[in-house]
Amino acid sequence: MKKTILLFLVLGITACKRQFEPINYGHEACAYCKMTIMDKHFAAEILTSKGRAIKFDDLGCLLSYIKDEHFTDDDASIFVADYHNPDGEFLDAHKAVYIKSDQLKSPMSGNYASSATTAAANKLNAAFNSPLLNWDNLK
Amino acid sequence: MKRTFGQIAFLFAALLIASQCRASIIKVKPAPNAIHNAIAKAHTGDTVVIMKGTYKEHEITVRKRLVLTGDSFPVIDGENKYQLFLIQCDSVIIKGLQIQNVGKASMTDMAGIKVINAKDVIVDHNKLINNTFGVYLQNAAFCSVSNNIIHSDFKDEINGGNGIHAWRSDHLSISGNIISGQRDGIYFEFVTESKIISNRSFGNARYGLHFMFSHNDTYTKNTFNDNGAGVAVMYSHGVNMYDNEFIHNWGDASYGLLLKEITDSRITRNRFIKNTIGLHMEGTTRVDVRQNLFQDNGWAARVQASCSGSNFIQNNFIGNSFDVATNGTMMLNNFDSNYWDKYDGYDLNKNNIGDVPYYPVSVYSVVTEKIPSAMILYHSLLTDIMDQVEKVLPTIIPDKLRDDHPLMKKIKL
Repeated sequence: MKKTILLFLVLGITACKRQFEPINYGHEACAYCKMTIMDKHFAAEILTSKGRAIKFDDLGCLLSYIKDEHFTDDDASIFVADYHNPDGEFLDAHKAVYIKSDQLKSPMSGNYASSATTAAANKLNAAFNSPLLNWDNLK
Repeated sequence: MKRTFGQIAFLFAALLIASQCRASIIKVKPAPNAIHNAIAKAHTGDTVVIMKGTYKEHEITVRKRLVLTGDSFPVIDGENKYQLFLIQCDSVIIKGLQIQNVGKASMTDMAGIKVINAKDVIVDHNKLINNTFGVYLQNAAFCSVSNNIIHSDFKDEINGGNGIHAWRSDHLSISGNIISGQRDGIYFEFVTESKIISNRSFGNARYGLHFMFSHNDTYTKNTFNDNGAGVAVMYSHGVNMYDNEFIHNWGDASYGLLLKEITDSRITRNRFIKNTIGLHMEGTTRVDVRQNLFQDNGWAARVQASCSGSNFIQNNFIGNSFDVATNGTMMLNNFDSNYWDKYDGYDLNKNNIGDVPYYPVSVYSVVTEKIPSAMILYHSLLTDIMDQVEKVLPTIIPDKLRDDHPLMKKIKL
């Protein structure tokens, strides 16, 4: 009996773990522009401190959402798709390095490409010639 | 008299020169690099006739004013690796070709026919099959894309491209095309003063028609059906949509027509039939919705509180589960003289206008707007009781959203 209770407790705790929620491409809509999220290169997600996932098709939409909705959850985690590895894991937006160029043609013309490292961003930037940005000077 | 003679002499000389450099016709038969060689050999104004057969050529760049035409649809195959026609000259005509199997690349958008920095190009009567992008117009002006069949049956729909994709262009005419199985059927971004007429766009993974930042464009007599999410119109002004059909766009986040941040536009004589949400409006200003038919939709119209100055006049609302839904109590839009089949008021003076106002937002539409999962109780005893209570003691529904002159009879559209 005790074991069962313990098991349920453990299950309960793990079920409540706050974690990145994968995006169902082609079916889910962006919370800001309402477009269906299709492009794996530019998707982004906010995970609020209460564990609600808010999904976006473009980093530009995420930034506008934060501004327009007066989003002030400092404990929220923010994730951005890795431009170099669209099928891989999302990056922590606070650590990622960004470039911005109209040539990228992102879904909502936010036109940010995220990289995990400065080296990767520099490599990509050879074609775009943008200044390297980080989370704090994105806004 | 002397001057007239001079003129005649000049004309004669001009004719003589013209006859010397008259357009010739070059016929191409299947052979390695046959099309490339023919284009290299051709002079401005020539016609290149591509004969029946299969051509495995790619990156066919046209930098001269030529007419490229196919004899009984020759096949030009990109072998799922390459892009095909690149038109970089004004007034090129390309017609009667079957262009297929264009490849995919992460950095370049590969297309069957790509028009770059050119004017007056005509793309007519082609078949574009299984291409990432069908026709792609970039910095194009006064171009016409007409009567093409564009279809793709890619399984990997997320990475697919658009049927007709236009970017930073103006004065385009897109007419009579049949588009299916692409990501977006027709996609406009930064395209102005253009017309989209009599196209049929269906079964596309995302939108039948999708445009953003595209001002003063007109869309008439198109049919958009069974697309993943319907039609989306965003961040534009001066949009005219007349006589279109939005049919059976069904799904969780599907709309007949989604309007976001649209100003000074007209939605007239369209038919919204069997969509999850017929017309969704968000952040719109001064949009005129007149003489449309909303039939058998889940929600006929969803008008968010962020919309203002819009008119809903003389529309027919028939057989919808919910006529109007909104997410606030403020209503800065005007509903007047519509026909609502759910109206149960009376008309004592027989002027065909109901004597009591109609409130198109039902209690349950307010409830489900706040708690979407409450939909599971729709049409249960509980909701019927709520409806009756609300009739006696109106408290929940936004009382400003009402039609003061509901019509007793359907409008003939």
